[in-house]
Amino acid sequence: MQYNSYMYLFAFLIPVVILYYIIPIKYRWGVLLTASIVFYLFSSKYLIVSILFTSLLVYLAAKNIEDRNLKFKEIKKSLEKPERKLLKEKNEKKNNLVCGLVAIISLGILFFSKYLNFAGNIANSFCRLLNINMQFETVHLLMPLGISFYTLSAIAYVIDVKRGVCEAEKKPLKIFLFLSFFPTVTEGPIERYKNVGKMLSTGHSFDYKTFCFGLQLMMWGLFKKIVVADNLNRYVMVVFRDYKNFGNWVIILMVLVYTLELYADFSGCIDIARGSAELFGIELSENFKQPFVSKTVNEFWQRWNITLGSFLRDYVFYPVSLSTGFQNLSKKSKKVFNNYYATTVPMIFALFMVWLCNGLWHGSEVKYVVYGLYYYAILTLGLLLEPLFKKIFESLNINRESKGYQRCQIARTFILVNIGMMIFNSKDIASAKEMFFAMFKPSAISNIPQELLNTGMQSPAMVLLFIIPVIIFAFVGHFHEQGISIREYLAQKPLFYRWSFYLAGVAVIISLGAYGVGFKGADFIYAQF
Amino acid sequence: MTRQNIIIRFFAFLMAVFLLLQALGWISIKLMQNTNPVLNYYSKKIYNEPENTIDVISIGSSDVYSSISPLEWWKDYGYTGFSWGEASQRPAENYVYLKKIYEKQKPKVVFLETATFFRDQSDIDNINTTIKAYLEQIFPVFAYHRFLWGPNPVRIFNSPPKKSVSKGYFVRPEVEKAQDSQKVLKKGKKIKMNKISKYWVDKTIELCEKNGSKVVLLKCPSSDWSKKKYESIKKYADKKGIEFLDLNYELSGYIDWDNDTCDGGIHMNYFGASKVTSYLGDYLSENCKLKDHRKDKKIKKSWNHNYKVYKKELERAGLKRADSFSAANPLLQKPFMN
Repeated sequence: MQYNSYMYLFAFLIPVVILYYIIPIKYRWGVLLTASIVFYLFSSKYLIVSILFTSLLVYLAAKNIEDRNLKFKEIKKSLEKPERKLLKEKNEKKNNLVCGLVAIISLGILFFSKYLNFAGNIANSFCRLLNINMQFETVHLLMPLGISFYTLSAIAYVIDVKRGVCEAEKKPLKIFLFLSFFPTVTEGPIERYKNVGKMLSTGHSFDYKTFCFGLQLMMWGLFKKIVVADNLNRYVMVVFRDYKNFGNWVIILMVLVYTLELYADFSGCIDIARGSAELFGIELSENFKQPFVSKTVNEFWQRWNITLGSFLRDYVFYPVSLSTGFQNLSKKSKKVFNNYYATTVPMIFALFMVWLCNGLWHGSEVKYVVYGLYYYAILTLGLLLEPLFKKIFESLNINRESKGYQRCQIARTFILVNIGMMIFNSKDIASAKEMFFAMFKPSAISNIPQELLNTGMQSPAMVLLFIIPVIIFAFVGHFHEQGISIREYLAQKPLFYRWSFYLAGVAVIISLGAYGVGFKGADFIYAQF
Repeated sequence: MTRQNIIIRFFAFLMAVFLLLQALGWISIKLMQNTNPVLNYYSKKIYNEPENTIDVISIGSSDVYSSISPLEWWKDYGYTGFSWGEASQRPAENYVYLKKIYEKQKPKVVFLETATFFRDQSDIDNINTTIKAYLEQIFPVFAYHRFLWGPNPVRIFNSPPKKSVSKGYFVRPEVEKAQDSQKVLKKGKKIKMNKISKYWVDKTIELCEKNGSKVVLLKCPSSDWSKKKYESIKKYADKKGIEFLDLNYELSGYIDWDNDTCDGGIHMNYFGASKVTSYLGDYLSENCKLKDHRKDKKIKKSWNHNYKVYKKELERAGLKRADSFSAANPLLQKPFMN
C-alpha cells in the first residue's frame, strides 16, 4: 500500500485516526497494532510470518539478556570480586552469543529473501571462471515488505538491550508493533526502540498543534512525491534507458534531475510517514537534513538517509573498530606509521565494512556494491591524502575555513554525489561507465532543446518541475539550516494566511500531481530495498 | 482551543477544500476541450448527450476509444453509439461510470471491454480503483486535473462544444507495425480475475441487465492479450450465459498487423478501427434489433452534422475509406461465431 495511494490516504489512514482517538487512551496502541497488521497483510499477505518470527525472536533474545543481567544484579553483591568478575565475563559472552545468533538468523532471513539469487549469480560466475560444471538456478522469491528496514531495527533493539541503552519490552506484541509500525515499515526511518518504543506503546491525547503539523508534513511529502518526483520520473527514465541517443549536456542535466527526483521521492515518503505518525502524536526520527549543503561525502551521509548511516556507525563501525583484531591492528599501526596514519589506517579497514554493507543494503546487484564502494574510495582517498592537502593549502596560503573554500567544498561534494546517483540509477555497471564517459563527450548546446523534447520535456515542464522545486527546496533548506522551523513560523500567522497557504498547497498538489487517468505513479524508489 | 472550536474549524476547513476542489473541477472540465473536433473525444461528454438517444455503449479502456467509431454505425445503419474509453480503466470504474450513464441513457446494448478485467491483479489496486472511481464522481478534478495546465487557459472563457463530435472515438492515423513476436497471440500465463475485479464485473453485468441492456463481452484486437485470458473470459461468459466476442480470434486473418495498429500492436489505428467498427456494426444489425435513427427528426440533424464534421476531418488527415465499411471488409460475410 503506497503512502500516496487513495487507499492509504482515504480508506486506511482516516479510519485509523478516527478509531485511535475514540478508543480509550489505554488501548490506543492496540489500534496502531491492528492497523499495522492490516497494512502489512494488504501489502505482503502471508509473508507477515517473517516479521512475526523476527519480532518473536528479538523479543525472546532481549528478554533472555535482560533476565540474565537482572539476575546478575541481584546476586552480584553476595559474590566475591573474582567470582563476580568471572560471572560477569560469562554473562557477557552469553549475551554476545545471543546477539550474534539474532544477527545471524535475522540477516539469514534477509539474505535468503533478498540476496540468494545475487549470491547464486556470483557463484555461477566463479564456476565459469574456474571451469567448474555447476549452475545455481534462479529462484523466484518474494520479499517481505520492509525487510531491509525492520531487520536493522530488530538487531539494533537486541544490541541496545545488551548495552543497557534500553530495557527489554515485556509484551511481545509491542515489539511487533515497533517493527511493523505502518508509517515506518515501507521505507523507514530505521527507528531505535529507545526513541519510539514508549511513544508507540502509550496512547496519546489529541493535540491540535501536533495533528496540524502532521497534516502539513504529509502535504509537503505529497508535494515532493507526486508533484516533483513522479513528474520527473518519466523524463529521467527516457534518458537513463536510451542514454546513447542523447548528448552530454542532456545526460548531465538528467543526472541532476534524477538526484532531485530521488531526493523528492525518498524524503517525500519519509515526510508522509513522519506526518502520518504525528497524527497519532508520535514523533519519528528525521532522515534528511539538507544533504546538498554537505561539505564532504561523509557529511552527506550524515544528512542523507540519516538513520541508515547512524545504524551502520553504531552497529557496524564501532563493533568492528573495537574488536580485538582491529585493536591489534591499531597497535601495530602505531609502530609503523606516524600518529595520523596510525589512527587512520585501521579506520580505513573498519570503514570498508560500513560501505560494503551500505552498498549491499541498497540492493542485490553489483552496481549497488560499486555504489557503496565508490563512496568508500572517495573517503579513503580523502583520509590518506589529507596531510598532503594540508601542506598544499598551507603553502598556497588558502584558508580552509573561509566561506569561498567551503562553497567549493559543497560544489565538489555535490558533483561527487551526483556521480554516485548516476551509478545508483544506471541499469548496470557497464551502462554507468558508458554514461559517465558520455558526459565528457562534447555535443552541440543547440541540440539541447530538441533532445529535451525527445524526452517529452518541454520548457514549461522544465521550469515548473525542475527549476521551481529546486528554488523551493533551497528556500526551505536555507531556513531549516538556520534553525528556523517553517511550521512554527506558519503556526504564528493569522488563520486567513495559514488557510490560504494550505489551500494553495492542496491546489498545487491536486492540479500538478502525476496521477489520474492513464497515469500510473512510480513506486517509491526506496520501497524496493 | 476548546473542543467545539476545533470541530468548527475542522469542518470549515473541509468545506473550503470541498469548494476549492469543485472550482478546480469546473475549470478542468472547461479546459478539457480540444479545438480539433474529432480529438475532442473525452468520455465524460456522454453526459451532455440528449436523454435516451444512445442505443449502444461501448465501455472500457483505451482499446475502446481506439477501436470503435460509433459515427460509422450511424452512417451504415443509423445506430447511435458512444465509446466510453479511459486509459487503463478498471472494472470498478466501468460500473461507476455506467451507473451514471444510465441516469440519462437507456442503451439497448452494452459492449463491455474485457482488457479492463485483468488490469487490477491485487486487492490493493482494486480498492484504490474503487476509491478513485467514486472520488472522481464527486470531484472531477481528480480525473481531469491534467487539463488545468493545458496550453490555452483562455478556453475557460470560451463556450466550447459540449458534445463529442466523434462520440468518444479517438482517430489515430499513425501506423506502427507490430513486432513479429506480437503478431501471433501468445499463450500467456494462467490468469484469473481478482475477486474484487470479478465482483465489479458481476455488478456491472447485473446493472446492465436490470436496465434492460444486452451485455456483450468484447475484446478489441490487441497484442496485449493472450490465449489464457481468452479462455478465462470465455469460461466466465459461458457461466453467465452472455456472449463474448474476442476479436483477436473473430478477426484473425483480417487484421493487418503491419498496417492496422498505431503503436506496435497494442492499439488499433484508424484502419484497424474501421475493421472492428464494421464487424461490430454487422453484429449489431444481425443480433440486436436496434432502431435506425436516420429518419428520427429529433437527432438526425445533429448526428448528420457530426458525421459531416468527422468526415471532413478524416479527409483533412488524408484518411479515406470505402463508402461502406461492410463492403470494404469481406470478413463480415462470415457468420458470427457465437
